[in-house]
Amino acid sequence: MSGTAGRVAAWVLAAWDKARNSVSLALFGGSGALGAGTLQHLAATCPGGGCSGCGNCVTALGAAAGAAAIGVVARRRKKGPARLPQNSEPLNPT
Amino acid sequence: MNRIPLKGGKDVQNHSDRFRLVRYASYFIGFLLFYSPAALVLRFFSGLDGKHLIGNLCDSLNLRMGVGGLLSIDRWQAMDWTLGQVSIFVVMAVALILGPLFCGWLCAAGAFTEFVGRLVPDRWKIDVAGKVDAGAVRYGFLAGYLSLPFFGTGIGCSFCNFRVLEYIGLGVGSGFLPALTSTYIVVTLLWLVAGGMFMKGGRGWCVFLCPVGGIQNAMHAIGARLPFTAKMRYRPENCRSCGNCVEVCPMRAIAPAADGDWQTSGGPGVRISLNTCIACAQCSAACPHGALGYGFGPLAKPASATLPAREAARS
Repeated sequence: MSGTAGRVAAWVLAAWDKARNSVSLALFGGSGALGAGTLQHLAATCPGGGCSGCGNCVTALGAAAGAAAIGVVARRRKKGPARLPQNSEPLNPT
Repeated sequence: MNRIPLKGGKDVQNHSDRFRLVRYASYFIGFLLFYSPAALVLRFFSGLDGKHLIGNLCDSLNLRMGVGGLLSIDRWQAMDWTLGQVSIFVVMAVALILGPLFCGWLCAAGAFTEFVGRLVPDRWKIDVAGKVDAGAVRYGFLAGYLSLPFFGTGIGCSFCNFRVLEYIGLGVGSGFLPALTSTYIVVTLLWLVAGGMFMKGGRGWCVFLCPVGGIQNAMHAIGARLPFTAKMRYRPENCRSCGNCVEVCPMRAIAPAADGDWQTSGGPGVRISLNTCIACAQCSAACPHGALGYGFGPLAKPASATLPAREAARS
């Protein structure tokens, strides 16, 4: 059972590693759409003191910021394998 | 007018240029059929029962409701299933079986920016072919766009180039120019200036932001994998990697392939992205060797799917 779980976990991690760049770009795209929709909502409701205080702008902008933040994190972790510190010993010394 | 220089001689150049004119003529027909003020298709259906709206195809979609409305069966049952709603499913079915032909042959909004983009020299433009995963961005934008009603903001109608082009068309005739107000300024700048003039191919808006195009290409990406559907088909055995198709693709959907991906007549060949290809067939018209064509049949499989081919290419 644990072997299967391990294989599934490894598959999920490998798939995530492969798709990370695309997922981060998709998150940026989604963030842009939410930001654009919020702008439309504000342009349609706010001029002339029409704001009803529904809070939808805060929700949508929060989601946009969240998506963008996750996208940034996903991208930043894609900077290749971690390097050994300068003063570390090589692996498997002969 | 900025001309795209091609390899293969004058005949290839002339054939490609003539084909582009045919495409532009087709887009003009699309403008007359689907866009106000003519909107002949809608006028036809309106004349049949006097019920359908004269306007753009999306006006009757009525997604301007919050989460409560979307989750309410009563609201969905109360919706008037007019041509606008039905047309979305027609467009999706066509994209599944025949490819995104509305984008490739009828959408005047995309064609307008492509045309405007040709007024600017290529050296001033950004080329995203093979550099950015445009499919990921456009599907992400589409997902965000479709999720907007769940945040109570309504669907982003004013963030649609289709709507803006209609208003420009109406404004020329009637002096009514809402395209010069509020969010339409942002859309027009992104659509015409950022996406049109300063992105190679002139279809930056289509590539990254158009929701209707995103839906069609999502269907096409699924449908093209079925053997009986139509798509742009690549014949690597004819390809000599001249790069003409990469140069002329307005959607920047074609990029040079990696070494060993294909068994070509010379060079690495090309890859076509199903997530952005609109089956306009401009690549086919610019190819001097018959390596690209629109038709029914299975997709070509890269030779690199087999390990020895890739190893051989490396060594």
